[in-house]
Amino acid sequence: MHQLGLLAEAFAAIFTQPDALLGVILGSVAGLLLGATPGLTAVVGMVLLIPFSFYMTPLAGISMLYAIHKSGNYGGSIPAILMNTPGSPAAACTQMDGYPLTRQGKQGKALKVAVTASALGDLASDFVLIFGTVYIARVVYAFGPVEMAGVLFFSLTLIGTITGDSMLKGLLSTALGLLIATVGLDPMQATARFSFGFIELEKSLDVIPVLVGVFVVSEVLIQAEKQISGNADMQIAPRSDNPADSRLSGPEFKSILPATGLSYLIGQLIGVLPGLGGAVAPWIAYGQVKNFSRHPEKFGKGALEGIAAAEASNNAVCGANLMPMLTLGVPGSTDAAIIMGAFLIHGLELGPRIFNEQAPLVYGIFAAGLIAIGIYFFIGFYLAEKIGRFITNFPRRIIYPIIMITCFIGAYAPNTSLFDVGVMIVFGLVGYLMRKSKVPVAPMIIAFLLAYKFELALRQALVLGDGPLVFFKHPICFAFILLAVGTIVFTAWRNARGKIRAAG
Amino acid sequence: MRYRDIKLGIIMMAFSLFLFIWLIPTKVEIFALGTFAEASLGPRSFPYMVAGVIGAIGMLIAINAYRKAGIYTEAPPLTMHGNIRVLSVIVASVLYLWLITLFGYMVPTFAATIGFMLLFGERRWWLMLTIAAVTAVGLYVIFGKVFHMLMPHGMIDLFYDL
Repeated sequence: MHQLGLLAEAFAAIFTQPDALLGVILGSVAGLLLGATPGLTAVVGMVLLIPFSFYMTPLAGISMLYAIHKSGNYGGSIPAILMNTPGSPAAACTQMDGYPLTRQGKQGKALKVAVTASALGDLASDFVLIFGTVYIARVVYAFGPVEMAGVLFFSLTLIGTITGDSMLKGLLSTALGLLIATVGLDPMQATARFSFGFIELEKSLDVIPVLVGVFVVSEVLIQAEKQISGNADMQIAPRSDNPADSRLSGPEFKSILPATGLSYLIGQLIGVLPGLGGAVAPWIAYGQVKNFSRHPEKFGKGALEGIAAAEASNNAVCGANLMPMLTLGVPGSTDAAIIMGAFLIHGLELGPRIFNEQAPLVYGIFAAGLIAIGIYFFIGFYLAEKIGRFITNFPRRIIYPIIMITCFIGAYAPNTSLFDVGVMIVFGLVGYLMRKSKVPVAPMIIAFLLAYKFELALRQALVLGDGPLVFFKHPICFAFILLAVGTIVFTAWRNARGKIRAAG
Repeated sequence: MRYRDIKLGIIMMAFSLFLFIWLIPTKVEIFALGTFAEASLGPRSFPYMVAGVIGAIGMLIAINAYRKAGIYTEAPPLTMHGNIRVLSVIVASVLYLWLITLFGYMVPTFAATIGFMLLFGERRWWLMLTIAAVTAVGLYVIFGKVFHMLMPHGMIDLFYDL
């Protein structure tokens, strides 16, 4: 198989390029540590390190971010299990059965189940990514501007509708992202839009200051508002004296395999859909595994299957997220959106052509993902508890100021422009206000990244066709429009039904 | 949360009107009036579409909140101390940016690190001085020396030739 040959070459490329290998190792370790620190997440880690990736080769930089994405997703389970505090929204499900085991002194066993299920789910997802994505790309290759406009309209609608607690606020966030992206030159006529006389704005807002501001600076502001007084809420229960409570035995490993398999499938399917991200998959997987379990009464009290279900689906999303990103240029999640940002800053356009034009890079990233799985599995299996104890001792009053200073340099780095630092501060405030108003920020960022492509496809389609009717004359585009409308109607109906039940 | 949502909806409607009436017509350049540019496919077309969507959604949010149609959980109250801390971080950030333009990277970064740690409640001076020095020098080494990035220089930069 052609893909195997490309993958073998990719492994050789990574191991013979010191910066690429260092990037993967650094990303895996940094992702694990950042994901394991409550208040920080893999997203924050990726955004903080994206300016570093700017100065690396595309393979090294993007591999590093992908490694952070994978290991950070797993890393969130460490505080969830040890401290009943998830390191990421996706790990909130893991604490349901992870923390009860910690209270029984069996945190070692819980952590080993978590990392094993994560690695298995991740590996299976990467297998589908490596060998299946190219076939999707071949189908998408035939899409013209009309079809792309339909796909992007559906993606933007889905992301806005499903993310967050409120459909309207999610769609508002999407619209704001589209508006922000219009700053700069018009894509067809190259006239200035919203530049206010600033030459820096004529070339549009740079993705890094916006990302850093919205995700990291807003988080720092939220933490500042809370007035962190110490790490008293992060104490870990003592370990059991029985060595078997810290091990994962052969029969126990076999017992979690069915849950891992089912959860992987759920994570794979959900991860492919843009906008759903990793936070939804674990809960759906957990529910399904519990339904099929012979001992559902054990769930919530320390069931190993419960931990496996949450973690396998959580990490299965990692590889699946990249499928729409690589084939359509539509990120499947916030993490994928950041990786997409890295592609953009290296001047690489995503879409089906990337498999022809940048095949070594794409397969290099796939190989980096597999190496990252190995690294975080090894570290997590033997050192997860030590990492958890280290994090409880590291004062958050020091972490956040360091992060803030790093943000400044990170925003300055891409264009060596202090104007970008100002943009970062503004978007930090915007992100903070959005989060206080419960307006999700992820749709805004994804829309910001997709807006150029969407506007271009939309206007090209209108030029080529007979006005708006062109979208209804092309069956693929029409199907995606129907899906988008259907998503909005279904979500509105489901919300209304929930309110009626609550009122009744 | 309900009243915040009503305010949010009204602000978005007002913002949409502002876009339609002033911002888009004055800040989006076009080649010529009455031609392709003024028609539905010019540079203003997409901003107008998005502005319309923002206004419509703002109206729906406000109406939804007014009619108590949502299941509202009480949002944590905004405290004066919390607001002051947030404002302090923003002011400190702007001040840090301004100081960089005057004194370059090193001294303002050292001072800003201490400033942010004070804002976050740290009070051990020996620790703050150490962390500030390590952070300022460490980031300089990584970006300035390893990545060969041109670090920001100020008008009175004591470390210009480093």
